[in-house]
Amino acid sequence: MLQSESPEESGFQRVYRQHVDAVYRVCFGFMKNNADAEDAVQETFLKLLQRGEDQAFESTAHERAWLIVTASNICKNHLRSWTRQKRKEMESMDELPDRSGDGGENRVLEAVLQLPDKYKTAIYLFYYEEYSCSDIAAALKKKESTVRSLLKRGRAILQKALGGEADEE
Amino acid sequence: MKNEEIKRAWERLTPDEQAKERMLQGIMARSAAMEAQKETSAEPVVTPWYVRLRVPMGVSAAAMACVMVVTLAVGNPLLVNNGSSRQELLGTQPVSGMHTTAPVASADDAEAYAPGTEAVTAPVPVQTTFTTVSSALTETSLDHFLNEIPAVTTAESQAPSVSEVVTSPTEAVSEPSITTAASVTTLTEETEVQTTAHTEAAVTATTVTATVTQLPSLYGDMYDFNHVTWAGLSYDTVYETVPYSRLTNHLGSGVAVGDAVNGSYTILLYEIEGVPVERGFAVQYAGQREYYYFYCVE
Repeated sequence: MLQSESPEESGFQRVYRQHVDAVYRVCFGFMKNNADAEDAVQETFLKLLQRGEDQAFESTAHERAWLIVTASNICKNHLRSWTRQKRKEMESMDELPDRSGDGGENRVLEAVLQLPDKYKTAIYLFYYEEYSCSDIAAALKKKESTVRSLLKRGRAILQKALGGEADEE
Repeated sequence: MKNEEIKRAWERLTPDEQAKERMLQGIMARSAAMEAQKETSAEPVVTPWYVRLRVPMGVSAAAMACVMVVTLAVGNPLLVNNGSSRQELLGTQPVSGMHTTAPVASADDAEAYAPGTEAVTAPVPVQTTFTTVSSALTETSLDHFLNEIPAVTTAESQAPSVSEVVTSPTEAVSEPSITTAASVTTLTEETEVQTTAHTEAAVTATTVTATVTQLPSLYGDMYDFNHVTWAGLSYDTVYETVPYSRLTNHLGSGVAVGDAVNGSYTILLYEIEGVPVERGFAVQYAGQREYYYFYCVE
């Protein structure tokens, strides 16, 4: 497991353990493969290490939101690059860390991963992290109405892919 | 589709422990690498020798350029003493330039020229003497020396100009503020030039005795040297420039002096169109581009 070597590292490792899953999900949602997702996760936590001491977070939630937004921005930057855009979309299900799900879960996950990038973060924050629209708006630095619009369109895409009705907020 | 389904779908995107450990090791390694890179960049960079010497080389080049400019300015024919005007100015200065006489048989004769100045007797052929003496002279005195050599060797044709030189120093000697010893010395020497030049016309083997007096440095702030004595008249300047197009005749060269400084500054004098010389003239300081109006204060 994660062994601490110094108090400083221990602090960072605590933060890492606390948020690595969320950061990884966001990164995998964008990158759709393990290697790129892990690379983006490392880059995200490196950014955290590079933050100055005077830029302390107000709370754990603030820290988590910062990590998620930073991770999504890093992934978007990666995806903007020409080489990345030219890469063939990989088979998402083959790259899943957990392939044990049944057909229904895999369909949902595949539909989520196929969402356009601009909806992914909002959908993740709303459905998984259970952020409110105002929290998402604050984290993404967007208007709340924009967030509502993103969520509505994202849900519509998922409904089209999976059928049925999604729960309203 | 339920929200719970979406949440469970996201939950499946969880890295295993090995992946977490791998990512943490990667983060630590990259962080350490960045720290090392930061420390490396913080170390003083060893600059190559040509970069380190760039400034000294530039200074040296500038100094050499200055020396060349001054040399060229002094070597300029405009600065060569053409006779009367130079002599008059020299009479007002605390020190005199280098002068030659030919021939002089012994050092005793040379000593008679210059009380208080350094006398060099060189009973050698003209060319040899020139080479030997020139290295010890200031640029101005060398210029004067070069001018004097033809006066000795060409004899009759140069004689009038020499006598012309000798005519006016009496006025210059009368200047109270200037070292008269040097002026007298100059007169004596020039007299010798006159007398010997005539006799030397038929003589093929000549010797030259050079009396060398070090002039003060040419370098200085020209704004400290605002006074010139010319033809017995005193001129001052407030450094009002005169356009080159208004200059007519080159009056000669001389030196400017200042009240607050010792020494002198080599200058070129020019007549200004429509302005009598008795009222004023233009002066160009050696090494400078501008021409400044000097007005008569007497």
